[in-house]
Amino acid sequence: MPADAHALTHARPTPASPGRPGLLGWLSTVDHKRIGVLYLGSGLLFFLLGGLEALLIRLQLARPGETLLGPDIYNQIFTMHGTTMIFLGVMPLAAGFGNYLIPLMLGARDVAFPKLNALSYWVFLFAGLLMNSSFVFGGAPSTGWFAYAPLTERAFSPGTGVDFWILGVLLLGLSTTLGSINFIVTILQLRAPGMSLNRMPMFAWTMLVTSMIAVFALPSLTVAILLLLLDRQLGTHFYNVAQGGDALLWQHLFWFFGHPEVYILILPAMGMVSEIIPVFSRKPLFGYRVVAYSSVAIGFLGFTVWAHHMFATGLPSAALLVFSADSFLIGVPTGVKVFSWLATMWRGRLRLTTAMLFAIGFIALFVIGGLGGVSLAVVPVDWQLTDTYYVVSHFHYVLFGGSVFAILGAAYYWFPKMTGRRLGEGLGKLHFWLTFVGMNLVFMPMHILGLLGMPRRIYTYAAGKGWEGWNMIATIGAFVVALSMLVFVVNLIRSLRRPPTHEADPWDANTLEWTTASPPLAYNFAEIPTVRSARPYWDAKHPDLADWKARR
Amino acid sequence: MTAVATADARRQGIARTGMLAALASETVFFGTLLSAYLFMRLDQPGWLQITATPARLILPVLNTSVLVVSALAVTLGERAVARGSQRGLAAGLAAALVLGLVFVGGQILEFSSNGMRPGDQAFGGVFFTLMGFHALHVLAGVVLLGINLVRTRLGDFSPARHIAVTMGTWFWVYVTAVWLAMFVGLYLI
Amino acid sequence: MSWLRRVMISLAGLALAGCAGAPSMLRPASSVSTREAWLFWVVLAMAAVVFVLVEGLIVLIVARDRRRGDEAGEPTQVHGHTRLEIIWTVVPLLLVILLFGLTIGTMRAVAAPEPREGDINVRVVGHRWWWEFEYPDYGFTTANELHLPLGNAAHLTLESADVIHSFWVPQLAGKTDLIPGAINSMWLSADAPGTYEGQCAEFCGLQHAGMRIHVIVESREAFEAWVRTQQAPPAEAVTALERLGEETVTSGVCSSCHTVRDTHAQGKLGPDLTHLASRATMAGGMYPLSESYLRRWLSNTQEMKPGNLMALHLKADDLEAVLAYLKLLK
Repeated sequence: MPADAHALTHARPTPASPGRPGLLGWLSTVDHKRIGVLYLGSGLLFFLLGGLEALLIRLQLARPGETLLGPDIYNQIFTMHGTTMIFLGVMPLAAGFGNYLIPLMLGARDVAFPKLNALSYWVFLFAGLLMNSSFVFGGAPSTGWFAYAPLTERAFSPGTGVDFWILGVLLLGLSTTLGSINFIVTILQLRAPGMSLNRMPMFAWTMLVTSMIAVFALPSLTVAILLLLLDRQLGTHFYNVAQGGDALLWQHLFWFFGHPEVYILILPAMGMVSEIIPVFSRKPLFGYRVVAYSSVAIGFLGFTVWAHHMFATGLPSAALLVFSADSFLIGVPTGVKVFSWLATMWRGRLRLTTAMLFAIGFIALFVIGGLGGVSLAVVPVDWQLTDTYYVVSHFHYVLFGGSVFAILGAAYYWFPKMTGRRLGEGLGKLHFWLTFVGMNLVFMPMHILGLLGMPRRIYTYAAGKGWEGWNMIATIGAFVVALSMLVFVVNLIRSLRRPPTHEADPWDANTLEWTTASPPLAYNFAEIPTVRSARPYWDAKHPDLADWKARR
Repeated sequence: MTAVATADARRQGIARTGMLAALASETVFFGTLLSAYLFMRLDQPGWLQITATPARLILPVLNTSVLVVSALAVTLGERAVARGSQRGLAAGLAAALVLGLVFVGGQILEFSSNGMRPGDQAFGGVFFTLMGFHALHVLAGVVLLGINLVRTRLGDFSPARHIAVTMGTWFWVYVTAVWLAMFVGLYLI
Repeated sequence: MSWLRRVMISLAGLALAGCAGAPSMLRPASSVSTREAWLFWVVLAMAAVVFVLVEGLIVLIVARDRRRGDEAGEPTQVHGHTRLEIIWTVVPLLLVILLFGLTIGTMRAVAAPEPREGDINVRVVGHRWWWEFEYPDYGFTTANELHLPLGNAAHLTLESADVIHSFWVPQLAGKTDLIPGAINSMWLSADAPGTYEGQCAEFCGLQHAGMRIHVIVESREAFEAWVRTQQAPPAEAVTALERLGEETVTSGVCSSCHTVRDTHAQGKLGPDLTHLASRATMAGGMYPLSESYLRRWLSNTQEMKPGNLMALHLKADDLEAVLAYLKLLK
């Protein structure tokens, strides 16, 4: 057996802790695996917080004229729900998986800048706590996660909520920028010998593109919020119309960041799904290069569509058409990925583990969200449906049905690598079905609510418009989802309390992280392997079917 | 290649890629700021701005020259260490550092002498914000140069190993280039 | 257009049975909304085809390709198939080009026509949290309730007095934002008489939910009659109680925010009250205009619309007087 295959198939099973023991060890760690776990744990807690906020929203909207939450507190809650889910939930969870897995997948010992990596995490945690502390220090921001000016100017939002939001988002921007630079350098510079860009795991590709998007998109948000902070605190007039400012400037600056941001949220998820599906289909990812280049295409095109969030603002027709066209175009590489995943599964040998169920669920739900998105690119349809519950439905299908499903699948898939034990499959399947059914109960009716004329961001509504029934169904669905999260948390706790089995390769998988111990040694690999294809472990286990021997 | 040389090459690759990514981020930052300024100007034909009379431009042009000379100094310093001249490096770093501080002083003078406050009409805010963030970056660069100067005295750099000097030079030249773009945008058009 | 409109409404009825009271874009009452509804159904049909294809494939694959435990070896390792990849890139591209063509076509079809004799001009100003409607050709201003005649186009200009709002009456047209510092414009032409509901569709603060629009489309004669009522000077107080109320409203506390034409009350912060009693709703369209609701409002404005910018607690005698006067303002 060649030396590398030997190294790959005979990893030492005894784990070694990657750092000092106890709390001090966790606080002072610069190890990417520990930092990854910190991101995952914090991300999960913030995600649950955002979920509580969602339940409150749904309780308030279950019935017309409900008085559970007054307008002020409702507006704070929906603002923090969005802000928390995006910045403190999905992004850190993706960063957590990225941190943990990228060096392992690339055959590296850590990221390029380990201390910067730790700094990124602690800045994120501080920012999340800072923003949430606003609830007790004079009120959380209540202007929506997108904070449109001039509503966010001092004149209309006199409290400190918006300032907390600005400071928190500034810090999060710093954390994400530093983290993105770290990932870019790690992926470009620290791959194992023989691992060209076209031989690295698809998750690494998507993290690379995500990080590049972040580097180019976040500064626009930073500028937007800095100008708002200057307006609020130093009396400048960037968004203050009376003194020469421009109300639409905020929207351009924000959405120039905001649209690429949604690709930051979905690309890591697509990468996770691209890892899970081939393993549980026992086939390689169909069209690897095309999938990689689609990610790059999505990255570029993502910067050209921002004003499709502004179709109703009175932009000239020519501009509307350009943004509409680009928004249609971006559907094409996205569709290519969906077909590639289906082709991977086609005539494979499917093992329907919980991780695989979530990955398949991702495809099913993401397609619904994607089709909704394409319908919104049709300008005259968007004129009716923008700023309604139809849009809320669309983005929850891609963010929940998409990103969250992928993250949950990733949790079931990589939990054994991180902890040396599997998550329970029985509870896992229950978790999946509750989430799948619940999610559709919440969000499918919202398509209809938008078509029935219900706008977004309203704390109550009048009876007699046909909105009551659908809202009630959505609220019931929200509690089904809450139950599913409870099942997941129970599964997590029970699984962590079982003694570890330290299976290095429980799923019979393809990539380098599965060649290490579970959990991995402090330094990841005893010897850095040389790879010859995108499935180095598969090659080692199936030398006659090795990828590097295959002609396409 | 020896193991040390490979590790060095890897470290230098990591530093270069990291700095490039950071500068890409900064380019979008300054680009967005400048675009916001231009966007606001598009709407307002009667935009109050600095009229570019020759007398008015003396201070800004002087300041620009100071920064350009400092960029030259830091580049020459980097070439010097590559040749083996520690004193050349120290001189280049020190000159750039001092000129950088002179530049920031000149900016403060410029801003206070034209009587605008951040809160005056939109242009006051724009002017203040653009120049202010740039000046902050110059100060960050001054800190970097200062660290490199101290490390030069400590003998950290050699012809083969001076990636920190090269990165500092890149950053400083970049900050100068950004200033040139701003100068054109704020004073000339 | 009206045959298409009837088809659209039937489709909506089929799909959304029982939603008769909904301000739905799928029950259009104007040429603009009819075209937009048609386009939505076309897009939905295309999406449904893709949906059935993809979800069907998922079901097929999961049912057919599950591991049965008795297989030997591995499935065929397929890395790609260039022809297939080209097909599933080109076909979606063609579909979106088709959609783009439909987009352009519909945008052209719903573009504002040249103004014609008999068209109505309305200047809309958005406030937190009510709508100001000025009819410059007729010389009066009203609030929250927009009257339009059947059969003529209405050209609206849209401005904001404070933050960004959005004017949306789904059955009549898509939404257009009201942006401070800019003047946007939109048009609509109602095909059927009736009352059409809408509301602000851009988050504008505490009572964004309470900024409702009622558009009443009526015959030309009825519209002209309404115009004449609105143009008339406000009613004069007769009884002592009414005169006391008139005093409070036109020279007292109300006058700093409200306008009653031809009196001292020239405030611009709140809705024009000159013909308040001619309107069917109050408080930004949130409640029917009735004596009991008005009494509740005047005794505590924050109770019915918490956070709104009118903070008033009128008591007993003052309240009866103001109420008596306001009832006159038909």
